[in-house]
Amino acid sequence: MPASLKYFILRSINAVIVLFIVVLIIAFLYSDMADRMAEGRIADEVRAYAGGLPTELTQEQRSQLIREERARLEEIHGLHDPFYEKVFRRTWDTFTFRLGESNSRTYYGASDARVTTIIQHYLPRTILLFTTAAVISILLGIGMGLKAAQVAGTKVDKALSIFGILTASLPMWWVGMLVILIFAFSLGWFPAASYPFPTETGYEYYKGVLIRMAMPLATIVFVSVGGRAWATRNMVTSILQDDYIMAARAKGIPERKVIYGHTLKTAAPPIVTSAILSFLLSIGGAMITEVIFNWPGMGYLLRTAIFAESDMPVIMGIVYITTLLWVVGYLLADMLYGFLDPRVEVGAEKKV
Amino acid sequence: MSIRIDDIKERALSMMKEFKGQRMGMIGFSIIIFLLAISLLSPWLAPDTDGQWANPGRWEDNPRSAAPNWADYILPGTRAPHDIREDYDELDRTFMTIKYVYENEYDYPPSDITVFVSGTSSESRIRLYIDLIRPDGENILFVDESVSITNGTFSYRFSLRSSAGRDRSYDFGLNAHRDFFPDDLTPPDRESVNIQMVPFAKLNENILLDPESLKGTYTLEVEAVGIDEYDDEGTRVLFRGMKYGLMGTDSNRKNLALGWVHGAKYALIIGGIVSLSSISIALLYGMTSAYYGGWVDEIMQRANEILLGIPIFPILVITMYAIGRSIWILVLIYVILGWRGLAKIIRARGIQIRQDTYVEAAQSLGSSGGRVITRHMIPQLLPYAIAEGALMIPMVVIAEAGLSVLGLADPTVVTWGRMLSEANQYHATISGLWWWILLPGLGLTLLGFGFITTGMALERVVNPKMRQR
Amino acid sequence: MPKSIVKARNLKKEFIIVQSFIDKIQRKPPLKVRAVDGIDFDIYDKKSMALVGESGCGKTTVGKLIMKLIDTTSGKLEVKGHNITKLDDPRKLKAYRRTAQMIYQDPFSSLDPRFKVFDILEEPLLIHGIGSSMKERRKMIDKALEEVRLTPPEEFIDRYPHMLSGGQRQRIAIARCLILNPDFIVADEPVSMLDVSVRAEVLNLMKDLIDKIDLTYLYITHDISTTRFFTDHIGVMYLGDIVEQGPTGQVLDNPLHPYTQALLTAVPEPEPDRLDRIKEIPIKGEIPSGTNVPGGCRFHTRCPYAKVICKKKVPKNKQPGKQGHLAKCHFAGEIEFKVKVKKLADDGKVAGEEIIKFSKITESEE
Ligand SMILES: Nc1ncnc2c1ncn2[C@@H]1O[C@H](COP(=O)(O)OP(=O)(O)OP(=O)(O)O)[C@@H](O)[C@H]1O
Ligand code: SF4
Ligand SMILES: [Mg+2]
Repeated sequence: MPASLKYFILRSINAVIVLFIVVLIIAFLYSDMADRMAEGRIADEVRAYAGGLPTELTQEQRSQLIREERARLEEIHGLHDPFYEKVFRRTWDTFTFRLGESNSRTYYGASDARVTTIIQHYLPRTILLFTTAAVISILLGIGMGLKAAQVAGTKVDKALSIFGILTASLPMWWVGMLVILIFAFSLGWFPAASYPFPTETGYEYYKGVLIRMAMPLATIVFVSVGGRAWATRNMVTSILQDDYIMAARAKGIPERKVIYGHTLKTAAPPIVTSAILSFLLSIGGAMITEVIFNWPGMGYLLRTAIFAESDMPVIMGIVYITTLLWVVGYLLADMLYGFLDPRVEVGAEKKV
Repeated sequence: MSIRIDDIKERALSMMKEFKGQRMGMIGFSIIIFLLAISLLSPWLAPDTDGQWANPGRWEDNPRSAAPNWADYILPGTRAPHDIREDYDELDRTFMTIKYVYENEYDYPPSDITVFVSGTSSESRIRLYIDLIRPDGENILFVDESVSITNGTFSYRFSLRSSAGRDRSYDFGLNAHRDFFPDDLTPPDRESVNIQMVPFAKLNENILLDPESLKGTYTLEVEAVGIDEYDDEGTRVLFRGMKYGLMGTDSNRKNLALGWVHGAKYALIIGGIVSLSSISIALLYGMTSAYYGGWVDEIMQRANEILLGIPIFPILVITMYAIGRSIWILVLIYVILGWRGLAKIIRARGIQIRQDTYVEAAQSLGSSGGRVITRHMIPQLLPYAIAEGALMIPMVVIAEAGLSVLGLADPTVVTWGRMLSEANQYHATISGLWWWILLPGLGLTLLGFGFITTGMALERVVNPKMRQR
Repeated sequence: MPKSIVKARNLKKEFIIVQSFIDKIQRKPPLKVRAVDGIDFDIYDKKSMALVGESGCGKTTVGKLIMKLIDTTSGKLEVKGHNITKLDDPRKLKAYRRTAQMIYQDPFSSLDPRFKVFDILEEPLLIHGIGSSMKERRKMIDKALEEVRLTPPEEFIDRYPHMLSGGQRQRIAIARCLILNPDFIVADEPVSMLDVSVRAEVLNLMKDLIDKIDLTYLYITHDISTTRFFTDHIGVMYLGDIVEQGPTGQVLDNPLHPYTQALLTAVPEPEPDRLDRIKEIPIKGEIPSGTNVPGGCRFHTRCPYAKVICKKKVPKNKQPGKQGHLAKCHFAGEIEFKVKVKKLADDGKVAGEEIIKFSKITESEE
């Protein structure tokens, strides 16, 4: 079996295991919560039932009827099924995207109450914002990093490093709040909230989306680009100290060529994968940034479901979809690394 | 297999010396010391804050949405300070009138006047008047009311922000407005007027829309007809400020400086627990893996790879939502998952050290496995792990803050995240309450900067190869 | 005949190469490196022995086996009459390590960079509980430093390894061995990583110690020319086996095995100041892998005299000449090799062939 195929299979197995673990956790917590909620609902219904019973019944008859009614309801809600069975059922449902229906009457603006429909309504906007930001920040960051590596040690390079360290320690969504404060409140250049989304069609629609996207996009790029550039710069400069690069320099090959030709070949796999991975890691921060800007994506949906509605099926659905996206992204990053760098090895170090 | 104390001391000292050479690291380290000091002093610096954060009674005497005191130095204009009068300035016994004299020399006059009156009377009802006499001689009568007496006492509360207060202010402004624009059929309505400023505004054509502070001496008069005696305890006036304390207040009157102190405390507690536990677990796991090698290593690495693939954010959301909104659940999740990346690094370093000849040399001198680990491996790996572990602290604290904004804040503690989440909830951004956003976030930034620079400086001290760069 | 300190009989060490997870699932047979493949030799009291051979032939492995840093696969290994293959009790092992010590090739990595010279030298004393007070230990450390001529001791005692030159570090490593008063030292290429200028110094120091404190060395080297200088016996290793052994002078002046011959033709007479000269072995082909040792005579794939029998039959030790001079070649003592090898080299027959450089020193200085 070729090494790359081995690598691929192993990584995929890992991804499935991870997904399984998270889904199991979701199912476990869901079943537990669902039980508690069902108990509450049964208690309400039984009380209503007891109130509606004819008054001429004896005390004994009443409690007999109430007991029967309770048992019937508990049966319907499946309260007496073994817990592991409920967890298993829930796990399977989650895996197969049967995510249930929202508790909320509003459907969050989607066309029906199914969690999948609601998520389908919100996910594209997150993907739009997030991938645009990722592409811009990765390209810009790598470009800046390469430039900095060329002029390593100069003031420009140092300034970039400090910028990178500073922004790396900032919470992205907090910068978003400052951006609103400055550009929406003080200067009034942009609308403070992205919601509601534009209702026009055609050109006006796209213009509206772009105006709403400007601030969140700028925020994500601003916060992530410095760190990206800094990481790239460090990887490139450390490779520049390798012997064969020194040799290339000694031969009089121009510095530009050394960096773009020789160094990039070695540096590309770690630079690209670390860029993708760190972007995956920032998913949480980006979702909160959506909340700050009222950008109607997954993060906004999550907050609404938590804050206003306490809508468990929707929350569980979001968690599952986010995990799924993460796992797939992680797998892709891994694959890309294996693809770019044929030297990767699986298993423990070979000691020869 | 003992580690000699003076040995450790000496090594620590020499590392300290090198660390002191790292300027950024020293700045970062001072920040950490500062935060630590504040946290340790929090019971004295900020008493009654922790459990009382959501209790409005605790903050009743504070102004709403007041800027920090130092705002005057960096922004144009001067702001009225918070002024609490326990004693009246004058008492006229003939009419039982008390007076409070207020010197308004500010571009932004007080945000509110709250009057508490209480006293004794032998009648069954009394009549109460409260009015404000302005420097231009105008007089606004805010209260003209009959108050009933129970058990010979009464107490009364009035605020410019109550509906009566707002009505009177608006009427006053509207009258003035009419003088300038007699033909205006649609004067600005109550909602669009900056109503809290009107009683202190110059009588000009802008009084409703863009009021300007009228400076000079104001007198607040309280007259209670039929009263026997004012009660000194229960009678007082708050000229609520436009600025307050080191960090101002939020729109629910909470003193942000007090919350900030506890925010620092919880940040260090959360981060400290997670980073210490991660360092210990990672050291144990990584070193076991590196030291035993073979299939032990293989299995441990495989397990770690799976753990590394688990996304922490959705797990946090789901557990905190389903089990409880508690920082301890967050801490637990991070204790379970936080060490995985560090363990991988430690293992790699450990394998490197194990393959160094001096470890073999130590064995050939007769060192036991335990001695090799304590004398050669831990001294090298520990500072390294500490440097890396330091970087975890801001990460965890920022995660907590983010979850708070999503609505998963722990209601029993005050964290910077909770403060920011409230800022977002009450629209601090679009109301321009910059201090409410800036200061808690500055806490997060300081913490991040402090630990990242310290960690980086430590890493350089520990890993001499990096020092050359 | 003096009594033998080390006695190895049919000593074997196989390394099993760590397999990947997938290989294990597929049940691939594990690969084995036969690093030491059934060797016999004796080291006699106060008669140091040299072990020479190309890189990867298993010299270091022999040293580590004697030090019990790795376990023997099979065979017998006795040191001072104790069977050390069965030395599993940690206390006995610790006691054993007081009597035998090892000097490593690379003085840059054999000293913990975080230990000062004092700590480095105190460590063995602490391990073995020697010296009741700091003062007493300090005295021993001073003495050891004087023995390796790092004087005055005060000047060195507080330095870290990176504040010492290569030669000084190697002396610290030697002092670390001496401080336990061992009878026997494995010196694994002790000078090959050092500057040419200080090699002679360190070797002189080692030789002086033989006379002064009755040490016995197992001296492992690439560099045949230095063996005559201070060893009594020599073993020539090829691919895990000692193919020729005997008194040093005997073997060097009158080699019986074609491999030894080849090594020697490449080496000029010892000229201590010209140790850096490039040396080449005029034999063809590459050294086979330790995972796949050729059958019959293990040298037959490269031997210029190989006959049919060499592929089929494993040669046994023969002793055609003087007492104690053994060689594992079917034709030992029967052919006059010298001329032929010389001639082979002279008429340039090997010029086009792959020429093996056997010295690490020369490799690193190219
Ligand atoms: N731990 C190990 N695992 C697997 N193989 C090993 C191990 N140690 C040594 N070997 C193999 O055993 C053989 C002998 O190695 P050894 O280090 O004894 O050679 P050497 O003669 O000392 O070489 P050099 O002159 O380069 O030091 C080599 O093929 C080596 O690759
Ligand atoms: S036995 Fe044959 S192959 Fe081996 S060394 Fe002697 S002549 Fe060469
Ligand atoms: Mg070796």
